[in-house]
Amino acid sequence: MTAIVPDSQRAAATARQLRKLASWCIPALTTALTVAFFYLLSTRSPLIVRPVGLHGIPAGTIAAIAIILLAPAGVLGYAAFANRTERIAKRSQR
Amino acid sequence: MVSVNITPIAIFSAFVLATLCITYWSSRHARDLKGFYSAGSSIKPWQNGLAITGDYLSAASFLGTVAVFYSYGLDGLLYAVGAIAGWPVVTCLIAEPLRARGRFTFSDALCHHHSSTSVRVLTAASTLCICGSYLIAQLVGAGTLIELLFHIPYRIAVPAVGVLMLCYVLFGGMVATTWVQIIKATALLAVALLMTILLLKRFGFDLRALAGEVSGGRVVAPLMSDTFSAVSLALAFAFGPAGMPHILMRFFTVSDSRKARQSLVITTILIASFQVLVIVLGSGAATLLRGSGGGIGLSGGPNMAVVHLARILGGDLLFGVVAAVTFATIVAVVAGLTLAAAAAISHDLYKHAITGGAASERSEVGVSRLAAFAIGACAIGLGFVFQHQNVGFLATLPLVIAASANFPTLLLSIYWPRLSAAGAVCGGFTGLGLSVVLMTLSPKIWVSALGHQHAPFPFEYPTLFSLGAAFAVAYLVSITDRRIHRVTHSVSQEDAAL
Repeated sequence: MTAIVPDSQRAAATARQLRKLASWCIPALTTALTVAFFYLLSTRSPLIVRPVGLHGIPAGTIAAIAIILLAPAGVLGYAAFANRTERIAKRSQR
Repeated sequence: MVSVNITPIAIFSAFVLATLCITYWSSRHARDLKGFYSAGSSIKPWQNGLAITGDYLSAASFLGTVAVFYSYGLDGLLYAVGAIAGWPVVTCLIAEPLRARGRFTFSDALCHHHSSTSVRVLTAASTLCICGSYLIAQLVGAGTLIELLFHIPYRIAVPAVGVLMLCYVLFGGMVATTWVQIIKATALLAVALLMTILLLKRFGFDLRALAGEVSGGRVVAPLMSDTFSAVSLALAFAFGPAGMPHILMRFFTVSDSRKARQSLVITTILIASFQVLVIVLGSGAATLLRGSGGGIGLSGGPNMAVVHLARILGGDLLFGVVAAVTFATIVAVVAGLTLAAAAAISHDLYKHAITGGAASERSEVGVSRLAAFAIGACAIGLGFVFQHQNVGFLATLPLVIAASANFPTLLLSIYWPRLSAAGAVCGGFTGLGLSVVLMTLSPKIWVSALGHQHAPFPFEYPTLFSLGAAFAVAYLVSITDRRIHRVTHSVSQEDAAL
């Protein structure tokens, strides 16, 4: 016998799953990028040291700024997921 | 030689006066336990976000990162990237469940499932190790900075900082400490932004010229001599903030988990912005102080690069502002650390481990104040012992210990229901012991500080070993513990059947 689950509850469950996924994926991504960056910089990899673009800034500086900006972007994304999940959960309880 | 400058003294005096007024005002809120430890959970998210930013951005972040750019060029990026790496972990995995389970310290959250005296002892021991090592690093840095900027002898400067820090903690508790952090974080961010604008203007917004010395042909030995240490340091940066007691304690100053999350979003944005500014300032310091604009002898060594950069960019006025803000940064951070360490002694050791939860609120606050005084006195004493140690290295020690001892037990206690009290204690003590012992046996301490010929542990940072071992031991002890319970349980069932 299959239980009938209302749409709002199904949406709440999906939102919870997505939030859980985001809560693990975002830190895993930023940590992996940080470890890779530290590894490449410690080995003085040409990927990091070589100048890029018109200004000749080292690729490492661009990568570092990208990783730094990724962290608040990820956290903002997670906060958006979390807020949405809480809104849906409240709606499903009504 | 840096001449005596009246501007930093005037700005610093204004800061001290303002913060002491705040301490007097907040002393009314710090009489009961909740007011003293967590400001009555009445702090707003934006205030808490700024205060956490203030707690995390120590003088090592500002002086140290720019100094590494100045000395090692591109390797300064390690500290800039590392400083932000831990915040997604704290925000997404730790903050909300910790706020929901805890009351005053993170050990409350650990004891949510396992109400055990040994868990309290573990968290108190790790908190004291982390806060102690961080406190010494900050006091040594403060003493050296004051000696250089104000020409006040080190032996007077360190006790003066200690007394000021004790005033905030003893009389103002968490409310005063929070407001000191808010003022300091705002000042630090404003100064970094102003310096960056002045620097970019000086180079006509030409990034190639600004990055010249960092990207140029200057060959320097890398900061990290081996990849093991580099990866270990990355892990310490990524998981350390999630185990720093003075940061975790701040989640209890807001009323609920949602507000803790909002605080951390603000913190992450502010820290990321600050690190981008520091990259620009570090590149500028390397180019201006080492390049054609040089000719300046860096009195005080590379750690003073940012202060010298301020003098080049804005003359004596900006020099004074940066010096005063840096000093304020140190005082604010040591106040937060002392409060966290005092809470570990009074709440975890005295109330739960010694009196078994029977202590009254009044006596707990009294013990906390006494503990803060004792910690302050010890830190001042150790500040003299470690006067000539490398401050930058001392400042990374607490991150390694926090990542190895507190983070594994905290993460497992939140997300792995099978973690037993014995598993948490064994895992935590393994991480704590390994991180402290291996750091002591590493070349930086064993050879450079203690003067031995060869270091028994060849790497600079042990996080890869100590963190992995803490997780493994916590897991193995927990599953073994459960099996013992299951065997005991089934035997007793058989006995009952018979």
